[in-house]
Amino acid sequence: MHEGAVCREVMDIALRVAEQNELTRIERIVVAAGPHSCLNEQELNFYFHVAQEGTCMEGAWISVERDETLTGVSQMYVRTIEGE
Amino acid sequence: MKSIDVNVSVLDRNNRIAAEVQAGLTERGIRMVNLLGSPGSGKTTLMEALVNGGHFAPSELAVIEGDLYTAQDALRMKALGVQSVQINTQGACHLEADAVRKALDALDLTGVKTVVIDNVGNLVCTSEFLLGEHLRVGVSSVTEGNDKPTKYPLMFQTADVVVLNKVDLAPYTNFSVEQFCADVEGLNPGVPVVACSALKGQGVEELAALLK
Repeated sequence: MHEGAVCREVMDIALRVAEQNELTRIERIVVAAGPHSCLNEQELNFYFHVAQEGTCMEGAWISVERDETLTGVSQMYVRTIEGE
Repeated sequence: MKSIDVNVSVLDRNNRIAAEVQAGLTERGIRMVNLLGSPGSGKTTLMEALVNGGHFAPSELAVIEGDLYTAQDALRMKALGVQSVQINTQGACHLEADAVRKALDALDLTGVKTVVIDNVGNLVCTSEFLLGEHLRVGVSSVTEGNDKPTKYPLMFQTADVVVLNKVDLAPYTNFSVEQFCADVEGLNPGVPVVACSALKGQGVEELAALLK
């Protein structure tokens, strides 16, 4: 439900990883979400689509994969960053 | 195309700040409680009952109020002589650790033993954000119906104490306290469930003992 906050944090993590790995463009980000995390892929990308303008993530998509093994308070993980 | 494994919690930044906040409070001998629950479940009224019942001395308590708008709840605390800071999220559905850190900086914590975060009324989002608390209390109420634990499990699963408020109204509804307790036990085995009526003072002493 708080896709705006999640988008912001995912982008910060992605930019850091891109810098550390010398990526000039990010094309896809994969996020894993546990059974009780409220994360809607469409809504998340709605925010992402706007926020990515002018960044190295322009045109990128965040894929949300369900991971039933994730438990605890925060059940969302950035799994992989794909780019060049 | 390169694929880089990351495996970092989306809320990593928040959780690091929360850990720092918690460590700082522990060092000062201060316990922080995160009070969660739906809008209208009775969080603020429970705080009033705890103070009015003499379970917390106003000078030893500080309250961080979280609401979308208005300072109504901070004013209710201040009226009892309790130091309170209001955070207005202006639309954000939850509090985050950095806002709590700023609120703590705005409080004079001399002599304070307990800080309570009276969180934004929300059964969904607030549970996902660690705020640096030592104890998490989830408040549900009779008038919300029996199905809240199963429909909104995260708050009940991550709570250290569950409060069932407004039990004085149970005879006027079809609410089953037994079913509620069984559902909560299934989600969080062994978690204490305290039946309260904040307005009537019922169960408040039992709750106070669990918060200390």
